[in-house]
Amino acid sequence: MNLRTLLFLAGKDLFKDLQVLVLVLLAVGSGALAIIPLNGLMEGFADNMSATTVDVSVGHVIVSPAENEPYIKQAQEVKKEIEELGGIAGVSVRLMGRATATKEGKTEPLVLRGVEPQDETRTTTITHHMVKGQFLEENDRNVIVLGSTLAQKLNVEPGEPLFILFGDEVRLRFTVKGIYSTGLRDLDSGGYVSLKQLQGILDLPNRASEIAVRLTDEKRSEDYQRRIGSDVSDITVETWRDRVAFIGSLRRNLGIIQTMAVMLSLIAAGIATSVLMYTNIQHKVRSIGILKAIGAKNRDILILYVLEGLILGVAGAAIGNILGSAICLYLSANPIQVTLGASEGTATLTSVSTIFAWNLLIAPTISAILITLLASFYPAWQAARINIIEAIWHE
Amino acid sequence: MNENLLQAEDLTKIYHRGRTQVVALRGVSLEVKTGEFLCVMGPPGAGKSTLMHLLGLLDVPTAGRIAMNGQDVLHQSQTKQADLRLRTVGFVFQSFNLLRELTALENVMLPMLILGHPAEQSRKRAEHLLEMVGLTERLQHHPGELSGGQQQRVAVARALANEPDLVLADEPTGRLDSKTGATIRELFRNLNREHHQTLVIVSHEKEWAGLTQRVIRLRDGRIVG
Repeated sequence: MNLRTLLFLAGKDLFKDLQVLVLVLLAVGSGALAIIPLNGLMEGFADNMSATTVDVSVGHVIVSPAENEPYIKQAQEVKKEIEELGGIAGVSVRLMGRATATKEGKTEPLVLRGVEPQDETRTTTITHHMVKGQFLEENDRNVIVLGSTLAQKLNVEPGEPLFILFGDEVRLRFTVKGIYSTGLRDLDSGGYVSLKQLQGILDLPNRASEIAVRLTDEKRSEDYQRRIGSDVSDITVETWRDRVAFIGSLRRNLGIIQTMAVMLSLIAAGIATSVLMYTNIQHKVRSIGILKAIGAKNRDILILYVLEGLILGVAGAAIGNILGSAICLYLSANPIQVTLGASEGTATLTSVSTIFAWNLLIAPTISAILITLLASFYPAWQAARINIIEAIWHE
Repeated sequence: MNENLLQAEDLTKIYHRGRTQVVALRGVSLEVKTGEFLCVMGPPGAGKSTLMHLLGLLDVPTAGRIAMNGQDVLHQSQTKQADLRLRTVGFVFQSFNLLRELTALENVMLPMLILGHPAEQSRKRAEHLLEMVGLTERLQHHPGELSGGQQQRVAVARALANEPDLVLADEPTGRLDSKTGATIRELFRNLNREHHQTLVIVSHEKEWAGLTQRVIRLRDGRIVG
């Protein structure tokens, strides 16, 4: 039987019972329908995490101490050398220090970031994430800006005092100037103070834990990594890609869970398709007998029903892709508002855009077609082996 | 041209129903010559339909031999036998056995399409055949929209689609009223007389006896006359 005749018969057969056809298409399409927005959302979530991390914390290039060195020495000189390279939007020298914050009996450990306010503002978007009060200003002393998670734990508001303990000996009174919420857990559990004050408290003059660099052209991160690395000695230079590599790992882990979910949903669709096709073929025993009686070969019957499976797979995947893409595009235009790590009262909503990309359609399409082909093969094989006499007397 | 189109020797068919054996045919031999119009008659349960199924390669005998155009067909592969059903034998069933989802025209086109003829050529021949059986006005009707007699005429047109050497008809008027049955008998007679179509009919209806050139009588799975 040639392909044209097979397609003719498959079309007649498929459209004979519209209810069954719609049911099978929905079963097949539902797999793809669910997967595409889910994948898009995860891509969007990962991209959002990357972008926030880069904008709020990492910058485009990040300079760390050389291996086995706790701090960058001559931090201001290093900063100056970087600025002289040109194409720099901001350079922020940071000193990190562990401490403990206490207020009215409540005690919380935290990592303090000592920064020059103007430099930090030029290098990151931290000031865009202020939910209460203000960020640090030049010459601020004994002033702290807290992350929303920490502020909630300490139940502190801007203008209120708290004590910061450095080691066992130094205990200083700070006033909360503002509260920020970035959605990044580590950052929201810490706080910002003046760089000079922290260097003074920790007795680490002109030392830095890291230097974040924001470029005017982020695409040149690797170029600047090379240039800074060759110009300045005793440092380690990374790009933002290296720093957000953990998101790639997160993405991979989520991908495994996601793949399992996809497989389970497609297997469910496959079983549904198989059962529907099997039932469908049971209703067509007589027709199959007639086809064989007038000269259709076993192979023709097998190909006919596998072809029907293929058509259902392609059509189901297409329907799932169209609906899934539509949902994806809708969520892309109307981002989901999520509160990542933020707490009630101090929470800022983060918009997670669902990303639509054509490559999101590949896996669900291939899977849906393969599953329906596999699901149709056994019923088709059984149909091909039907005894003609028994079939034509079948009611 | 081979004088003997069909030769059947010692055909035996035993069905197994659980532990019970039912002997439907007991060593039936017959020959059909090209252009012949043969009627196999007998009461219900005589084995007529079983004989037709074996001759039409729809079923396999327990023992015996069938040759078409001098060639042993029972030892051929299922694919080859399907090809013979497609090209050499046309079958008309008592219960019409048309595909419900296809129109009359499409049902008649189907054997030609399966054989690989172009759609347009198949359509023209199907229209011609349906005109020949008097159904020009019913080309686009589905079987459910046709009377029993009309459905049987579509089935006859379908059996003739690939210009088979032999047409086998199993009780072709069994489900029709007497008037409609008469038109179908007339159709078969014309096919033989005017188109020299070789026909083998099985029936228990005596009306066929006067139309055919030869009558074989079957009783309890044996030829009795």
